[in-house]
Amino acid sequence: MSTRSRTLLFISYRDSKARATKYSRRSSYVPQLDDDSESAALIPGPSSPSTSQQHLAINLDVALPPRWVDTSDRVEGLLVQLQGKIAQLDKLHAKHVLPGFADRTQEERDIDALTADITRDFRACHKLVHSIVPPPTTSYPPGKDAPNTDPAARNLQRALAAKLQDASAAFRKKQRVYMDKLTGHATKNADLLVASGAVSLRGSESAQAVEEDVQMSAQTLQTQTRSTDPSLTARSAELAHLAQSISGLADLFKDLSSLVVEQGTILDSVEYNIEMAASELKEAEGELKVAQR
Amino acid sequence: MDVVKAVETYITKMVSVPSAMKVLLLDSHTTPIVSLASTQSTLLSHQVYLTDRIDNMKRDRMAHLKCVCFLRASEESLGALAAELREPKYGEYYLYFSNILSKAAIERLADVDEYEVVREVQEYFADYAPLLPSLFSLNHYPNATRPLYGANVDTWDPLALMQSVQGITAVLLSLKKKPVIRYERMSAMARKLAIEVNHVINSETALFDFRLSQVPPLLLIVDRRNDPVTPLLSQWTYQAMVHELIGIQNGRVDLSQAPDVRPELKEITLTPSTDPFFASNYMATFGDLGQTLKNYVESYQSRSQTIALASAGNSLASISDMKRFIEEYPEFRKLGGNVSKHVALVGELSRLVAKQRLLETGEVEQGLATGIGQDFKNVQALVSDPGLGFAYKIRVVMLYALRYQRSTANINTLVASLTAQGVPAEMTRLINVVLNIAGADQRQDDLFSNETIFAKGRSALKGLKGVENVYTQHAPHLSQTLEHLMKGRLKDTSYPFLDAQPAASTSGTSTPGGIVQKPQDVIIFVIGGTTYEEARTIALLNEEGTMAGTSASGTRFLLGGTCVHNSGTFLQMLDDAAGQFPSSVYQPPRETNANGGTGLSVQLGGINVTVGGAAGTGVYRSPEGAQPAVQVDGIRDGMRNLLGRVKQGVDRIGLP
Repeated sequence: MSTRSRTLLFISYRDSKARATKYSRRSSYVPQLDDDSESAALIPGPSSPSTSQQHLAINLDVALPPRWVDTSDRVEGLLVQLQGKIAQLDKLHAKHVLPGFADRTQEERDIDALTADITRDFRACHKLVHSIVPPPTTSYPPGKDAPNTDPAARNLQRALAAKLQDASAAFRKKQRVYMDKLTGHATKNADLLVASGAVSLRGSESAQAVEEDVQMSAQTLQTQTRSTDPSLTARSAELAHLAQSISGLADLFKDLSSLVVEQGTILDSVEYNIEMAASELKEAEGELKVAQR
Repeated sequence: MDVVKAVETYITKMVSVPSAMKVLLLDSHTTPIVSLASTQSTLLSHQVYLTDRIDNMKRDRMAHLKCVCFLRASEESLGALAAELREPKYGEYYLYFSNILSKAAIERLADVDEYEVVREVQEYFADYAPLLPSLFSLNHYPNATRPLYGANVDTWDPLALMQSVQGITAVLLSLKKKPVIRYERMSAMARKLAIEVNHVINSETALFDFRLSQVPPLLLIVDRRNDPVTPLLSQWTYQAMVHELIGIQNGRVDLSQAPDVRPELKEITLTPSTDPFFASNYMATFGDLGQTLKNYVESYQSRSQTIALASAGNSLASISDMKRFIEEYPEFRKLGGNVSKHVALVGELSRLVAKQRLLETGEVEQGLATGIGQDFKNVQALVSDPGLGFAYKIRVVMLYALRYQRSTANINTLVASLTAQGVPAEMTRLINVVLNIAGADQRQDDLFSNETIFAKGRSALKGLKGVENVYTQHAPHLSQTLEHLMKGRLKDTSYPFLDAQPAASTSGTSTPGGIVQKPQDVIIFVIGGTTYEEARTIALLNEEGTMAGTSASGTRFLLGGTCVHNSGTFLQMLDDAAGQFPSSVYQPPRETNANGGTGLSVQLGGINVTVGGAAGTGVYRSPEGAQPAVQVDGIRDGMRNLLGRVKQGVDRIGLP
């Protein structure tokens, strides 16, 4: 995997070229200025990098970047925040699962609030991602609007959807593991949970089997201390919350998957995408010609 | 020695910097390279939100995007890039070139970069299409505007030569190999290519400054003309079949001609890196493939049944089952999509096999290629069968002609019946073209000798193909060449080293029990295109190489070619090439005219021991000592066995 950088050579060529043009300009326009630093500060020349950046900013950024650039930043920001919140929730969960005698309603309230917060953030992200490319309006003919949508925006939407999907799936897994732990308690304590739960556990992956083992050991500790648990009703409410959160996340996941490019299909081929872009362009050109006539 | 990984790493490095929203600009040459080693979703995950061609002049200006260019340093691409830099559409530019960049080109780009938007200029040597971990192609399918040959069959078209040199040097640089070079002695083009590649290695010493291994890697340059048989055969393993019957272009397969295909499957991708089912089955024979696919579908069905049952059951069960479904949703969907894709593809293959009656004809082809069966009668029957296509008939007569080149009378009979069947002269004349370009006197090795039963018995590579069946008996000539190489028996006289100096250490004939210096890494390049059948041989050799105790153990192979042929593209290449050559290429080859004892020659065609003279040395490298005995009783077809035995004996004596 050899590579060779020619950047330095390129820059040296560019610098020598730039210097030559600068001198020539100087002699014709501002012959009195000789000091390099002064001239750079007053009249931004193309040679010094910092001033040329400004130059660029003036020259190229006349138009504001499209709105989706901003949206993307917001989604990325939210996702970073979410990571922090999820980590926090993890800690709370871990604490909550441990046995204890103190009043735990505050703890449970915290968990609920944080879970709701995270779910809300996911929904906010989801909404933002959808707003990048507005769903096609019901105009006729239906395909007409498609070439107008910016392909970059569409791709950004796909990328963010994939990212969001990953993050939400990871969180959902955590929630599920947590619920499994809780239901584990319930199974032993109340002897009520039906076989169906056990069936679904059997079908799950080996990673969860490990979780189960951990849970079993924690559970055996608890069966003695909390054999007569008065807060069975509170617990079932908590479980209901969890189940809701999980199914909500699952819906979100399903919804996003319509935006994400499936691996291994023709849509995932770089070449195909470039060809499609080219043919769309031709079609648009053709339509334009027709319109001109 | 994994070219897919090498190119993938290059691309990942390219799109990782800068960490911002990016556009990736490619040209017609680099698009398939990127497409084969990466995917749209990989690019998206690296914030590449736009992929376009550098020569697309209608791109919008987007100053908020940074631009990564990956281009071949061709005149067109440099011109388009210069135009782009004069009026930059994006914020910053990171330029990557697929090969060595001339100083003049760098200067030219520096000249136009007035806005100083260029941040990087790099050479990333991903200048070839990585089709499989051990197969690369230069994607050069010769045609009239982009020929492979020059004025005759021994000279290069200058552009084709340049691009081949670039492709090979890129392979060497991307894998960090500084090889010794061997080439096929009979091929002037192989020698020319070897010299040119060597020249680049020696003039770019800074680039080729790698840590030396004990035994240097080997670059073996061979010529398609030495084995014209392999690309003419029908194929019976998955990837090779798809390429032969439908065609694979840069990992894409066009199924739009298949009847009743679902719209989303009109075009599919088929690369091992993105398709786990294909990855584990691309070398499977058609029969095994059917069984595997059945299991695959059954596993899919059992899963979807669970889902179906779950949703039909009561609400409690359905929630937990639905959860599980959602948990596995991406994988499930992926499996589902994959199932329908392979079912459609294999279905289409079966349809084509039945339609072209390949099960009947394939047997005859294999017989011709391996030397068993009632060849002439069978071929005649196929030729006069009105149900078979012209292209197919031409192929089978070509195979017959290549095998029994000296039996002019029979060939003429076959050509006559082709004409009687309405096959146009433009097609039948290709039979003479193939004999002129790749006939016995053009070939260096005795192509058909390795297939005698005894030779097979000797082969250390036997059993390589797993369960033999009648359709996959043929082993490409390359496997024999490599076997000789591994045993240290690849003769310097047939495959000379470019520089004479390493010849002493790796010299052809080894003393029994003596240490043969086996190269650790062997890169084979086939001028005129390789095939998927050969790629499979290489992949199997590599698999075998990971096991200890075999003759190939510890050696890694990489195969490449100017392109990857199927029979259609191979015939097309011959046809286009012949158009450039003197018209004598359409005449029967001279040696064949001077027939005489046809009967004798036919029988001996397999080994080429007798006449020899006119064709020059090297072609007939069979033992001289065996000749008289052979000529005495060598009349009947069955005698090839005896010849093989005699040959084997002489070979044994021949070893010092």
